[in-house]
Amino acid sequence: MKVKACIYTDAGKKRTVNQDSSLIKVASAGKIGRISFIAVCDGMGGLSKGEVASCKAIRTLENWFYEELPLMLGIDQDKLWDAIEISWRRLLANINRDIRRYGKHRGIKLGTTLTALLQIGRKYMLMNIGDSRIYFVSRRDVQKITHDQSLAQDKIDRGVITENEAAQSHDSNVLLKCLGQGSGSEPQIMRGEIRMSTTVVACSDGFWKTISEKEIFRALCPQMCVTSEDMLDECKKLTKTAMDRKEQDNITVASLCLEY
Amino acid sequence: MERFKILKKLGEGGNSRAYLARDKRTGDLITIKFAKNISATGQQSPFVNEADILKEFGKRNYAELISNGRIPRLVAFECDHIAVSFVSGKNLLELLKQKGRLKEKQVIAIAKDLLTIFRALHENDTPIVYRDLKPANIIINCEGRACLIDFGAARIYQRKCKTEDTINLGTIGYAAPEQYGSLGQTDEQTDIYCFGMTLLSLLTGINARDSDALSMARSGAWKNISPEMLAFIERCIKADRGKRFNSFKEAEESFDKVPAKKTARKALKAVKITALAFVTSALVTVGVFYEEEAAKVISNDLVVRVPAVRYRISIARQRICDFADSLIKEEDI
Repeated sequence: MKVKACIYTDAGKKRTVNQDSSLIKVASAGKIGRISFIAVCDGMGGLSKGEVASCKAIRTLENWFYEELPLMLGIDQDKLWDAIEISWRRLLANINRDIRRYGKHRGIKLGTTLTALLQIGRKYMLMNIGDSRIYFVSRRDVQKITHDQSLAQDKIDRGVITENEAAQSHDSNVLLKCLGQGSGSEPQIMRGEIRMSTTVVACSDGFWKTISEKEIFRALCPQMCVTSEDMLDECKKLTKTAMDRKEQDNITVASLCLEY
Repeated sequence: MERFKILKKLGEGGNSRAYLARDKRTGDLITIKFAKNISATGQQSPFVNEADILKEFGKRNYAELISNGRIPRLVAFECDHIAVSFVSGKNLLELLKQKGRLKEKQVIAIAKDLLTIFRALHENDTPIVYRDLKPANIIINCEGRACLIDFGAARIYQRKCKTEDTINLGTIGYAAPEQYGSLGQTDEQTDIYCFGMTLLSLLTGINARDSDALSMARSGAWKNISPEMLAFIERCIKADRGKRFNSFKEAEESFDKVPAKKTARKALKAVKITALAFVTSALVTVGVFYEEEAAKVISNDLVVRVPAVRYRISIARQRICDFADSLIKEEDI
């Protein structure tokens, strides 16, 4: 299996500070094979110090990848994912607590979305809080695999509005859940299997609101990802397109091409 | 089959075996390919496509290319076999294995030959897209010219037709992104991608499937490739079709400028070195003339100016210390 990866991020035109944080880690673990970990956090726009919250989340995930995950790899395959899920839930509670404590001391409100995916062999698990997204781009199609925890998505689920209406309404900016706000937010945690060559694209809302799924497919399907540099070129181009379409928010896109 | 006498086996592909044979009628050497697993009668011959393309050559103005053996000529076609003219010479893949990699000069010659062939194939209302350009499909004949063999993956491109290719052909590593499907039909620019990949693997000897080696080669790690050549190749192998050359005509125009640009860069470098040498020698000459005076100035500096500067620095240090002390005292209060 081959892995190619890139991250591209831009503060956008309106803001001077980039409140998004992201990470990609790839490791090799003997007989288990290649492990990769991708995450994007979007610090809350309306709240001050969003970059502190998203950075805190990413740093915690990074430490987890280096310090806790290696210890878990000895566990049997069937119990491994349960163990990871438990440790993820604890991790989220920790991040939530840390961010809240930071805000309480300074008398400010801050928060972050978080979306992360861990792949070991052909299996994957993802967690999602808020409205950052992960797409799976295969050789043939593109699939959104995270479920937004936003007011707009909630309305779509209840059948109040359609997806097209949601794209135009302001509700899409209102989050139902995020890290750093409220006592405990129930994350979306999902497991699955990757059957064929896939590009995993994790992005913040600034990216997916202006770029269609079709455009993501055309730029980042595995056949277009010949080298990491090619991927970075395409990500840059998409980000530029997004900004040309008057996207004001921070834009972050992290992509990971897994070739089986 | 009585017409041909098989001489030896040439090789084996995914779905066919190739033999060298002699045409008893004309006495010419030919390459004959047999389908590997064709059993049921009525099944379409795997060579129909190739035969159609080769027949198409006859209708077009390719007489010169065919007579020179630069592209194959159709000799006979039956359901289970196809016979085409044989090109004696060395396969580039074998050559590459032998030598590790080729010199840029050699590659430029090969590239020029390929550009001629591809311009002929493409510059038509219905261009023939070759789709499987790689070192293994190029033969260097006895005159040292590059010849194309095996049109098994080729296709006649219909400009108006917007449907995607039904089958994915080509070789992994050399094949352009659109050849894997879902990105629209293959066209002339597909060949440009394969062409760039072929040149790169000839220059470096890397396996085009190895993406790490490929990134390294593209970043300019190989010193035997001139930056101009690399820039040309880079433009050919853009994953995004819109960024590649539009046609082989455009590519050829750009390619012809490569040697000139290279010479210009080298000339500029030579001029820089000469200028630097000249300035250095001038300085040394001047120094020799004024040696005594220079020695005097330097000894004067050592005796008088250096201690003076040191003295000033020590005073400054003292003042800074005093200032810092006063700050600390203020804080204490």
